[in-house]
Amino acid sequence: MDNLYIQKVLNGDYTGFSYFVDKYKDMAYSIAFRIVNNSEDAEEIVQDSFVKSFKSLNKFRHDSKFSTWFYRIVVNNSLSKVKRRKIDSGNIDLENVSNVVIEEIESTYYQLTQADQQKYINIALNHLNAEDSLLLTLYYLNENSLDEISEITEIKNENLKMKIHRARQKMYIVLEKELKSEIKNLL
Amino acid sequence: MDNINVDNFTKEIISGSKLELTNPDFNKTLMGKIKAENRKRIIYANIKLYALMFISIDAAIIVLLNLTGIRVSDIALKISFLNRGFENFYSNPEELISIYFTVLFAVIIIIMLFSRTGYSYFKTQEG
Repeated sequence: MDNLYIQKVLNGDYTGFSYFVDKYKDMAYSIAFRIVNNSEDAEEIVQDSFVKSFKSLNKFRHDSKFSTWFYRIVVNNSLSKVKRRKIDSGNIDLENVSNVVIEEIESTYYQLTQADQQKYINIALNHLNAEDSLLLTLYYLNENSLDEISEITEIKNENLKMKIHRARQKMYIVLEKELKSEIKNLL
Repeated sequence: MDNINVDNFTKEIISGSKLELTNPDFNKTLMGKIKAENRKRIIYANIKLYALMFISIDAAIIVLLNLTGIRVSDIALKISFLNRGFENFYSNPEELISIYFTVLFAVIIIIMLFSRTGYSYFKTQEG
């Protein structure tokens, strides 16, 4: 379907581009937000990224999916905005998260309302550095493959599995701390 | 809890982190920018095409004049002779002709720039 609309736009029908806007704007916004951590900047980045992709659509060589190519533009624009060349990979002390802790988090999590679930997961992701939250968003939310994530983030494929695993551990560490009061109340 | 379960649970909780653009004017603003960009692209393609056409036509005229041995000064004399016919209607026929051609070319250029000819031509060239 993407290819059909790409052809449409390349043939001069710019209105066909609204298909890509509707389909990818929210995910692009999530990606930008994970890097710049500011909703206004993220929205501006998404707009610029769409315009940029429209301008260079004739350079898209179909080596990858349109979404992968487009999200790469979003990541680059976000990095330009925060004036960094690489995604921030600052650190949180990595402790070993046992399965027992994850089971505790799971049981507490299911007792929260949907609004609270969203609140806590967003708090946890905001506590992580840009690289970790971006990797988790791409892998678990957008279900990108490791190859696609490698292309979007320019992180070597062989390091990705470990980085995603660590990002997940860090998220559970933050989530455990955030949920501690909830756990106490519930126990 | 094995890894698959942890993975599934992680997927489930992260699905709750999905962010959505809430600005109702987002699409309208963006498509406005895309429309402006599209117009720029069409104008640029037309400028390229007509510049190429004018250069080619000028070059062809120069070659033709050289081959046929016609001198430009002879043609200029004939045009100046024709101009005299306008003197009965307008006190300054050169100015009238000049205004006429300026307006005519301005209209032609505007129509050319906003047409899709240049864009379609270069699109065909790119294949």
